[in-house]
Amino acid sequence: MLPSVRKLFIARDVIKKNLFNMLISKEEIKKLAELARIHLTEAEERNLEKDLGEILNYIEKLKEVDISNVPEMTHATEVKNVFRNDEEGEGADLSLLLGQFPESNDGYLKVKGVFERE
Amino acid sequence: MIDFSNLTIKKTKELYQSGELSARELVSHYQDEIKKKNPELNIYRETFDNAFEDAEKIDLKIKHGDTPRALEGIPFAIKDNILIKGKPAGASSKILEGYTASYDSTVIKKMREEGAIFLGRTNMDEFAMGSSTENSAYGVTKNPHDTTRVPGGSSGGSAAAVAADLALASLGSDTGGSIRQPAAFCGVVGLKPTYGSVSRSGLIAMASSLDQIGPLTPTVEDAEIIFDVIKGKDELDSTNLETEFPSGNSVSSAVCTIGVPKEYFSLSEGGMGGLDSDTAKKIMEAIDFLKSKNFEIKEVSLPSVKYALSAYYIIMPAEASSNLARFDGMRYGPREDGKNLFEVYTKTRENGFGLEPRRRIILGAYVLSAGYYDAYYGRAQKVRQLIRGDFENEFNNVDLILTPTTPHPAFKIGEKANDPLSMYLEDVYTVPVNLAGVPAISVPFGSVSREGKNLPVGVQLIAPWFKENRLFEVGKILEGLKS
Repeated sequence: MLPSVRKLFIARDVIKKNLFNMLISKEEIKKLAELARIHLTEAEERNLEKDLGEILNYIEKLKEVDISNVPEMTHATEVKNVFRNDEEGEGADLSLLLGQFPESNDGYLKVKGVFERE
Repeated sequence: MIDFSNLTIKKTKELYQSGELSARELVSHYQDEIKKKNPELNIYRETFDNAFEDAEKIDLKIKHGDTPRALEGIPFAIKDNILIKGKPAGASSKILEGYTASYDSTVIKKMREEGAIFLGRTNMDEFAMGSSTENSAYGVTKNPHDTTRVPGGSSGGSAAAVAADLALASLGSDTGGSIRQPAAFCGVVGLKPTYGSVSRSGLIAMASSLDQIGPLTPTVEDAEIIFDVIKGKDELDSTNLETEFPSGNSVSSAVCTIGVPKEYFSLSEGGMGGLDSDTAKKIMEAIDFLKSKNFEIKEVSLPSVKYALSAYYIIMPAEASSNLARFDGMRYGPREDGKNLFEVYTKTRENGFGLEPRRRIILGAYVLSAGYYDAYYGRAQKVRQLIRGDFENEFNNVDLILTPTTPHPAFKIGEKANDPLSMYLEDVYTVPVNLAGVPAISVPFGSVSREGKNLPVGVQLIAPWFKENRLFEVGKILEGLKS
């Protein structure tokens, strides 16, 4: 192999590795933040890209585990449906509960319109 | 003169019965101490005015000759994520500023029925996300043993309250070590019960398949007394199981052999890379002490625990991301204004959540994204099954497992605050316990010296599912050696 071609191959591998290590992009963070209804500043996005990248890199370790034939764990102790009778019981204090509303109208919870007019 | 700093539940009840102490005196003592020490230590977010009135009622009962209940007149500090009806609760987050609980959590109800008094609510990492209380929106709590250091977290306020003599005992919650790690850092006992043994109703949820409420106490016996009150089936928590608990006071010993996982501690080398050497010495001392008490010490292996933190940092944020979706400024807490609903949500959550909850919400949303499920969440749940299997295997060979609680004593305030990953690695010995759902206790075992200060060391004992009695049995022996 010609030295220059070899160099190209090495360069390609380095780029590939860097790409692989960059597990989450700023665009993805932006999208996720929007979906999770969280506003992030530019600086926070940058920091998150670094922090999440490091954390995701760390948890990549899981890829080396042989999980063939292992079921997903869904409960720490046992899997069983728990039922109870549908009976009236002592619940929350209604006035305390309603008193928490940031905005209310005649005991109703008031929120901004869900649909917007064009 | 009563030495308040050496009180236990049993001793306090004896003093009440003999008339040497009243609940009012004890509550006043703690209230005075809180006034003195809290401005510096920042342990309580708030104290409750009615504690003294509650004490008066209890004193009348005692005077009347009523049979004392399990926690008669015992003053408690409660972590800020456990609801007490009519009291503010905030998980140390701005997004719950002004929120008042409209019902009692099941643990509070049970404790109230047994005569407990609630002194106030304690500081914590926001939404229990952290290992130092530095993530609290209301400032860091300081370690009573050295105020330049953290008390651990997330139940840092609850651990420090007991250590600083600002409550007889407290409640915390443990998702990946949040009771045991601060207990170790503050030199108190901390119990994480079996998943499903204590109701989570009224606990502000972080990661629902891992969260458990448990006590932080001066002695193992106190932890046992409180556990006996708060455990048991509750219809309000569907993961809560009906189980026959073996009695903690059985005469015959339940524990003969104790395993030490070679992944965490080498018996031949008396330590392990990543474990502070002074801490390792104390752990070896504890092992030798138990040997001298005729326990057989065996090397055991938990081959999958090296993946525990990776699995945890997928499962926990995934569940937290879902649980924290309810904090949207609609039904409670402050609401920011915006030009439309979307903006109201985003602004409320931007101002309400600190950096760590936002980091975990985004990480959780990422690992649950379509296309990533198999690579992350699904895989993590399978690894979790392997870790659970490791414990199951070794509990066929040993009755109990022993590890350090933390890799080193309490660290300095600010030391890890800007490096989330290194903060996450703090939980290396405690996280596998939550993933497997088994119970564990941290018992103080002497201290190590740092810059002229004595910093406590904790020994973690882990038992099979629902065998808390074994933790109490060996925990009491361990704490018997005051080193």
